Amino acid sequence: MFFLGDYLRESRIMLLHYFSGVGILVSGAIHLVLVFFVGSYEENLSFDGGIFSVIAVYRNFAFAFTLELLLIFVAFHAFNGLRVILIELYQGKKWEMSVNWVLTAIAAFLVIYGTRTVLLARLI
Amino acid sequence: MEISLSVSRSTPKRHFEEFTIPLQKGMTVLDALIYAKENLDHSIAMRYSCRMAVCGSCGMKVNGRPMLACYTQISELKSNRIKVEPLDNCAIIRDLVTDFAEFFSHHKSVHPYLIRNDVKEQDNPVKEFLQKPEEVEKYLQYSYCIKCGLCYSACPTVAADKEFPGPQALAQAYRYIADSRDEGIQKRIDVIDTAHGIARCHFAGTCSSVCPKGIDPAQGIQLLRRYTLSLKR
Repeated sequence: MFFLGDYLRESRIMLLHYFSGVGILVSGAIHLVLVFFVGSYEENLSFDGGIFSVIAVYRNFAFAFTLELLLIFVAFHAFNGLRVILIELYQGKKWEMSVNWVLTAIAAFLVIYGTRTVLLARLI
Repeated sequence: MEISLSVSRSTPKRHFEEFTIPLQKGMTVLDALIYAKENLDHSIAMRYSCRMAVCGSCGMKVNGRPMLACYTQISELKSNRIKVEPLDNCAIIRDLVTDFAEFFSHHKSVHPYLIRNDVKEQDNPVKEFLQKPEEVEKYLQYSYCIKCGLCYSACPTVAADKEFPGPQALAQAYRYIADSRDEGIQKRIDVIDTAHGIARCHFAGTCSSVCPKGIDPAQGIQLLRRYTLSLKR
């Protein structure tokens, strides 16, 4: 979102910010409910084979999809929040552009890395 | 009875000077300052004009709170020690006089006047722009703004972000956008819907609590937000 810079109005970004906040709440709740029903806490936490139990949970499409949504919502919400704080702290076109690009790059990296983890866990 | 008036002075460097003022019934902070200037120290610099909360010239911090000096009676401060300082978020010109250039440039940036698509008709109207009472009600309180800068001075976002237009300018943007005669909504939204615009208001509400005219700029900003989010047109 940040790389669109001047082309995307601030109100649109903030609307997405509010939407992602609600999204975190909803997808986070679904995630917790699915963890409770799909996997067993005892199995997941067990030292012996616990990791496979966690990975097995990722094979459930609904779980993986909700986790992916949660990842996108959290990444957008967190980095946009950080962007708002940083551009309020200092002003200037150069600073603003640097903040936008750096945070977009970090957020994109986190989403790609997280998506890769979700996909790999489904393939194992 | 006497009061101690502590006045912020800017020369040679910022410090406070104490003056003892004989208290009179109904005396305002501005009266006390005028007494000090006339009788104790002619060099005190302050800005004032109407003395009845209409011109908005005598805004200053009184005991730490932005107020109009002419509109604040000493008796209502419930203290014999009064401290007056220049407004925050504005550069100090001298003593209690602050530079309003930035404040007014934000005000001007939101096009604080009626904009009509038909300019010819606006310049030479053939009939009145009629409004229903409920249409006037939507923006009436915001048209009472006297541009005293108290809300601008109290705003924590302005303190951090100088590009933020401030509550006064945003409330004025709402005042004209909400006016049924106006057609300049897009022009104003282009100005306020930026990275340092309306979205940066954290709704601290200090603007509304210090307004001497009882206007609620924080409410205006929230109503304006509906327009920027396209929830209302």
